[in-house]
Amino acid sequence: MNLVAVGLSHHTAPVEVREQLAMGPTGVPGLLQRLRDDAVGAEGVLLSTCNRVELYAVPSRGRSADDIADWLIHSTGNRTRGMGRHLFAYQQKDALRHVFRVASSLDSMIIGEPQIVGQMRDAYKVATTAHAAGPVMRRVMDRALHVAKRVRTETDIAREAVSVGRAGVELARQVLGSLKGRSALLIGAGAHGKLVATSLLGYGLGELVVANRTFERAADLARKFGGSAAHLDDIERHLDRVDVVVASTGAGRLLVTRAQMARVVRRRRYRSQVLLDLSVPRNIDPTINDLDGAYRFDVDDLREVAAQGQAKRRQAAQVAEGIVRDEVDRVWTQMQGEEHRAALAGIMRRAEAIRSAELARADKVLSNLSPKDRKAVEAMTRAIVKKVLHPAMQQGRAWAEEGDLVRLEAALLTLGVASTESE
Amino acid sequence: MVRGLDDRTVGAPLTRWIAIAAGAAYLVPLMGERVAPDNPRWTHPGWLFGGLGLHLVALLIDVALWGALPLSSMRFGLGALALWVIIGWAVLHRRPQMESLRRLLVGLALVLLGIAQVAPDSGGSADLSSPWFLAHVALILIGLGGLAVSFTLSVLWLLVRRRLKLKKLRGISRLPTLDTLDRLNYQAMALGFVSLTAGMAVGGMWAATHPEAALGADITIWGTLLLWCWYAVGLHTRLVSGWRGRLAAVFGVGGFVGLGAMVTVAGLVLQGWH
Repeated sequence: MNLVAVGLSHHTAPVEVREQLAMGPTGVPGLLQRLRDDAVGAEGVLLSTCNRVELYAVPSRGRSADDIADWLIHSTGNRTRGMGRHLFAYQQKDALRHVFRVASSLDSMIIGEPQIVGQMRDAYKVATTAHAAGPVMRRVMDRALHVAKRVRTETDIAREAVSVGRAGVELARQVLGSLKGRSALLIGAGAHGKLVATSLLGYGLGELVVANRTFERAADLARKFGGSAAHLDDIERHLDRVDVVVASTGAGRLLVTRAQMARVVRRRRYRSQVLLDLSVPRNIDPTINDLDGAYRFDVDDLREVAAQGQAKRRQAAQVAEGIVRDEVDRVWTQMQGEEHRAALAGIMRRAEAIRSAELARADKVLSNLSPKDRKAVEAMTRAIVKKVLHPAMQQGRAWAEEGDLVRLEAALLTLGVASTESE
Repeated sequence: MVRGLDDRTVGAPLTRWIAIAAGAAYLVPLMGERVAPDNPRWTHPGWLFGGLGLHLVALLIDVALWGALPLSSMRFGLGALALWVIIGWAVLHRRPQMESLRRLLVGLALVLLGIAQVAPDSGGSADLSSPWFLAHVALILIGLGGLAVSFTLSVLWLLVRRRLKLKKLRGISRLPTLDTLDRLNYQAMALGFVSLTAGMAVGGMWAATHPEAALGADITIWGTLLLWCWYAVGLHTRLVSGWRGRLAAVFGVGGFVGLGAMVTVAGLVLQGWH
């Protein structure tokens, strides 16, 4: 079996180089068709994201990984000099390992980020639709998605928050459960506040109200987020009904006081409310945290959650690397074994062809036989071939199953059958 | 079908040993998490399901030995209650972030199972063949199981809340969310309350046909009525006034602590129909 992975990623090339190879989903089927038309690759899957452009392919006979890398540069219409030095090229087991690591988000800029699995699945779907994913790529991609699932379920790689925005979401979810259909009030237009609001909306927030000192600014931001605007003086009315409050202003004073919140929590019947104060100096009275039903966190809490998340992900990545290593060894051996089993089947086919040819040569002699006798001779010769080959086939299958491919290859060569004949 | 005394003499220690084996199976993943947290063999849920199977076998043998549902003694009753708590875990275990709840539920079941093993075998003089009596005891036990799960969820809710309030955020995402715990607590409490109410009603009907049972002086009946009122107020404040969170958790904890005190006094100190 022959497998290569060529391309560039955030590890090997800056964004200005990556963007030159990047390709939208509409261009991919044509490129994969050209891969086969130009007889460079028999199968292929192209993954193009903001962090990587990678082609996983089964090269055509006589083609190498370097040939595919050159073809990729030229077929994307790229004429930039020195592009080649940004490209990586992995072959065989290393290529398989790379595909598994990418799918498991171990190669991502933010380890454990969830988008890559969806992007891999989309790339695979495009290749399947374009008839570019044959038996090898199907096997590789199916296993890659399976490994990604294992890594996500068996490790903590995606569980912990690693950014301030996601940390805010995690704290809100720890109190409120799902954020779907919940409402939030964003006070101010600070950078951290916008980050958290964006993350909250990404988790299904139902309504966002933006309050700011200048109403026009609030209206602008609300339009951007698809929410509504409010005056800063009017926030108590909104505090009564929203589940999350995010304060991020440069006001330099308390905008939400304890007395105000004491009234609010009573009116809310002590239903849980999360208050994220991302301002310095703080905008939400810290003593509000003592009130029943009110959970107040500041920017230090969010940073702590994010830092813990990063440490956890690093630990989880080590476990995930172990899973990938095991899976690569297992899948590679299996795939090699399958290929060799196919070669063994080739031996049987060749023997059958020889038997049929010999019978045809003896046709004159055998023509005197009755149909019944002729049938008996057919059965007898077939049985002889089978019985002669049986021990060799059995041993070959055992080697293939055990992964003892060196001995199997040697045996196949002796018999005059190459394992690549099955392609 | 009531077997001879010999069968029971032989069978009772057997069921105790099977119940102890079930308890050991419950304990394995709890200990495994501490001793070998990275070894999935020791933390596999199969241990708990295996223990659940053994637990069930022990109760079925008791049914065969005593010729009736094994509810007529404190040992059987607590054993059945522990089984309900583990079933509560089995229902919840697939939900995310429920590891800590599992520890609490399994811990509670182990305590109940442990007390059951030292509790006396003999039960009251009730007519075990009466379907009213059996329905009463079964409904009350289901109710108590629901309230036991509600208690566990309440304790966990208070622990998670305390960590959030004190900003002890390390590993907080592994714990269930406050909202999930509150919702499940309400469901468990509602199930327990409805079953307890039905059990009390059936028990009342049984008592009406048995004037010889001087139930007016039985502390368990008055205690259960008090408990019923406690949970009724707890559910009412949630349903009508919309209060939830800490208040619901306090009702869940307080009710079950009261229940424990009542069972201890009524079952171990005072003698009576219960």
